[in-house]
Amino acid sequence: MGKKKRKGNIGNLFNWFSIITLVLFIIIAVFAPLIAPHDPNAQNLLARLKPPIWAEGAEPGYLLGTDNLGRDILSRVIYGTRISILVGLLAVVISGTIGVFIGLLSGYYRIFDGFMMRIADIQLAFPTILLALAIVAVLGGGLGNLIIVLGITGWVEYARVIRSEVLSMKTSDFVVAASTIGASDGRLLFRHILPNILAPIITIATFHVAATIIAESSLSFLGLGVPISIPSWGNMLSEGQLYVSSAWWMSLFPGLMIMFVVLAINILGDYIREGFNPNAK
Amino acid sequence: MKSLLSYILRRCLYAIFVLFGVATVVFFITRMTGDPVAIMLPPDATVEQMEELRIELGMDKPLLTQYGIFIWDLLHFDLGESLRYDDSTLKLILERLPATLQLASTSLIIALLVSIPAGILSALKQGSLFDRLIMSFVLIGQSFPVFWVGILLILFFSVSLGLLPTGGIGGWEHLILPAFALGLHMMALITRLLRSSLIEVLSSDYIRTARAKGLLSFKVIAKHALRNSLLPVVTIVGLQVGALLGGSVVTEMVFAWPGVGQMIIQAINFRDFPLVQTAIILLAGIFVLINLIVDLLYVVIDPRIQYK
Repeated sequence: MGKKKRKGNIGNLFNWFSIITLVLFIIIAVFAPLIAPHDPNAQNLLARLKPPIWAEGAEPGYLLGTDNLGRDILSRVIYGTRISILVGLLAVVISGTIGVFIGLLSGYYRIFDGFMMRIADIQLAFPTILLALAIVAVLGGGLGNLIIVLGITGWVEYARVIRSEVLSMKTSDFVVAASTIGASDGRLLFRHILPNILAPIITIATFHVAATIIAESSLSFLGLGVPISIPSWGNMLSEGQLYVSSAWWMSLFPGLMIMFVVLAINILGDYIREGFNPNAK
Repeated sequence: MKSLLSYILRRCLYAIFVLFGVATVVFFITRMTGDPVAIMLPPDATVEQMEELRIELGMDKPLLTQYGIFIWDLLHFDLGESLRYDDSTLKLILERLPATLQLASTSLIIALLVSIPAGILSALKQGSLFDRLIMSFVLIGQSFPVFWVGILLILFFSVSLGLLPTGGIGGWEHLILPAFALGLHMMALITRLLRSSLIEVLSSDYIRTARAKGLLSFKVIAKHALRNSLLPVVTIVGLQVGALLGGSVVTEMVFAWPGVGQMIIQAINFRDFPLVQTAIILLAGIFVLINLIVDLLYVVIDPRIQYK
């Protein structure tokens, strides 16, 4: 018992960290223009590559220092929150919708199943980032394209899990009962089965937001994601890498933001998974 | 025996089918905009130049004819010529492949060397300080983007301490940082998976029986528990090869590692789409091949599998 209790405490600590961090990030994203001390794109060529305020040679007014064009790192990091959360959430909504829909149909209709699962296998053979890279390279960059690409490349996991849930639920008593009294297929799928498989959907979606934020920043880092005119963490790291030996602050802060937000979402995902399925370890 | 052979044959045929699907997807992605020539040439290209390239690449023909030619050439291992290097794309990629495979396999080895002992100890000492420490590292390790790990490693080991080179290829000292950066995520994943799988196995009946027979604890773990808990690890390693290859694109850019990933990014920037196309087909092919091997390995490591 004693051991379990201690484990509970550290678990709680993590969960609180996760919730506070996420709430903080959402507040930062929503109120970015009010919080940011500078215009994120305003250049001050007289104050280029200035270190954070506590380091020697810092420029007053630039808390986390400036980049190679004299732009305020803090303000850019604050605005970057918006991009990551926006791309993460929208892409996950797209993936989730496609994946759940395909999963429901695959699990329910056998004719559809074989075909869709073959497509899923083909999609899985591509490393996600590579597929996204190829599509972005062809379609061209831009925030909209990026969200669509990350959205359509992420459906497989939802589809597979939902499919197997539907397969096992199809023969359960309450579905058979509803079918016997004449419920239509659509009603069975969306009113009876779907509400019962929301737990795995929410769990996958949570982890997927974190994975998408990493994918977006990776693509931006490679110069194929968010256009450089928009401040995003991936873009900042891409520029920061060029100055890694002279201006570490350009690389440190955007990376820390990615790590914290992804960590917080992953902890939340674990918490949700354990909540829905107490046997999971 | 007969069913085993037909299982192997079926897996091989399915792998070929997936590869065929991969090639088809790649073909249609590059033609998604309708006019691939327009994205291959710089914006100031003349109409004549565009027409010339279109004829050179056979893109003046109907789409289905192009697709037929593409698949036919593919069957003859002819994947077209690079626009930038005027050389066979397959040859160019194969020249770069050893560097990527070296990086990816070293990351895999590092990941396994760390995660297997960590996962086992964590499971055996479940709930201990060590376990909680490892699990915290796992959570953090899974949250680092690979390129940021790379930048941090460069900052610390190359810029601050001056111990290791910032990039490029050479001796083993060039390999340590990129391989670690690329392997970190997998390390965390396998540790976690092995831990939970071992915990589950350790509480099963046959382990209790083995213990009750009076077998030594070490023997029970090594011979009975570990063997079964490694099964999901093998599956995940196979599936994670894709992530490893995808991650190598980013890692190679951070560490200026001259592999396929770096070539893909350069090819995209130079609008060299035949090269991009070949690289993606080849990397996906490696993924399919490794998962085929994993499938076949199961025959050896898990005799319970029914081959039907």
